[in-house]
Amino acid sequence: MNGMFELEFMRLAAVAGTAAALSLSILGVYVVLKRVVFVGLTLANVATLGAAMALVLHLPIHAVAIFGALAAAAALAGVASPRRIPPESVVGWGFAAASGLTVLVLARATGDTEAMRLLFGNVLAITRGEAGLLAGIAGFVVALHVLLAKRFVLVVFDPEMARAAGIATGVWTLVLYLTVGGATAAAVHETGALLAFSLLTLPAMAALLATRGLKTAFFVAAAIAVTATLGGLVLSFRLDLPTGPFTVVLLAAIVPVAALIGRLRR
Amino acid sequence: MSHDHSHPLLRFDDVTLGYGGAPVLRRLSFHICRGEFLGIVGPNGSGKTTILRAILGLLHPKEGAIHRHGRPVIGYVPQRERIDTIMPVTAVEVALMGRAPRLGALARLHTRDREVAREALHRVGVVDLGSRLFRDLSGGQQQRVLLARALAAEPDLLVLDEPTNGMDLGSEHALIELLRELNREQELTVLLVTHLLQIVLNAATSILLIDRGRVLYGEAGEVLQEGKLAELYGLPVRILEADGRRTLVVGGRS
Repeated sequence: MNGMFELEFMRLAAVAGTAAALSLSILGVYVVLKRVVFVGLTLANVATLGAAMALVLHLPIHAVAIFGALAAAAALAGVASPRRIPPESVVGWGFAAASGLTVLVLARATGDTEAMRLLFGNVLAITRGEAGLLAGIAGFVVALHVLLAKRFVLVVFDPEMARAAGIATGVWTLVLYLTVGGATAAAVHETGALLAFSLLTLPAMAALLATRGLKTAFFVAAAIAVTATLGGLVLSFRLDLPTGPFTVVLLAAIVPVAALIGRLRR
Repeated sequence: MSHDHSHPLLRFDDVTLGYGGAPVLRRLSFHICRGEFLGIVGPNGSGKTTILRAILGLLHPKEGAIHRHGRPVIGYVPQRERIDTIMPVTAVEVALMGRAPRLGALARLHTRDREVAREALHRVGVVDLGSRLFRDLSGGQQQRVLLARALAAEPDLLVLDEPTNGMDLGSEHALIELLRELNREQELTVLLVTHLLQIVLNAATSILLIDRGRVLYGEAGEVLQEGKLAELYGLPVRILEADGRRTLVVGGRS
């Protein structure tokens, strides 16, 4: 394994993967508990759309992807759905629109390799700058959520009581969605929308199934995400399989195991 | 018990409340003084939640004014059904959330905060359940934990929204007795919103009744008169007393 990490692209992939895994898995606990997992999927697809548009228009890919995801996050946090349909259907609309538009935009792209990378990600093609950006955004997101965990937990658990206590729940929900949007968008270009969405939802699901307390769930989600990401990197390299999809399958396989552990611990 | 009516904790002066263009309640006036137990009673759709939102500062009056004396800290107990119990938080963690109005966003919990939360759980009789997950508790136990959370705020005013919904008779009685005790013995100011007059009949010191736009407000002794209740509800109402406790009989011979 030592030899494997003598290769710079493997080291960068490990740094970027760990950063994305940490930030997305911690945010994922809120996303799963708020029952808004499709918000994560939609934001990942909006970020991909932003990156695709940037590719076609020759604009900075990360900046446009992050801006697009932040704008979508703000809209999803603040928009009130019509009374005749559930809020989730508005999220579904966003997902469908972003996915369709991404394919249409990429049909105009000249470089197939970059277009494929946007759709499926390639954690092994990360540059130093991209790894540094991901690590920086992940560090900010993790620090913010560690420092302000009490507020986020209260706002997610009982927004009505939080409002009565004078807490601006709309602002806190917006910050939560913006961090989800930012972390997802930062990861999408490197990992692809599928792995970013999987890191957001599957470790949190597994942790909530296997553990009892909320604090433990945050730590276990982060541990599962980082272990699966690094394990996926090493194993896919050894088995000569695509890293992103391999890691997604690994994460998906952990969920039923976690459910079994949770059942046995009851 | 006498209350200082010259400085009410909360006073509604000719308040009109509503959403968008249409007022829900017009020219409402009432107040709650320190140490009082005010019951706000009305059927579903009568505007109780609207009043509650205004009390909590979440809805501003269209007309009139709401006066708060010295920015009272409100301990709020929402309807239990509105809380999504999927989150794996323990009873102690829920009680600690009550410290939020007294702590900044970045403040850390100190020993005193934990002591206050534990004492609040003790006061409502669920301190032994502190390490249990909130979602694993019975409805009555959850309601007590939510009450402990409100008490952990060290409130000037305790506000409860339909706290007995979905409770069996025993749990309902125990909760009302607990509120009565907190009010009478520890002089905690209580405001309870319910659709059942019977819930506050023996506990409230003053009552605000709302029915089809009509309002009856005053000290419990003034409001709880058979003639006034019969007029408000359009039904014969009798108030029976046994063992020093009142009960309502509605309908029958007028």
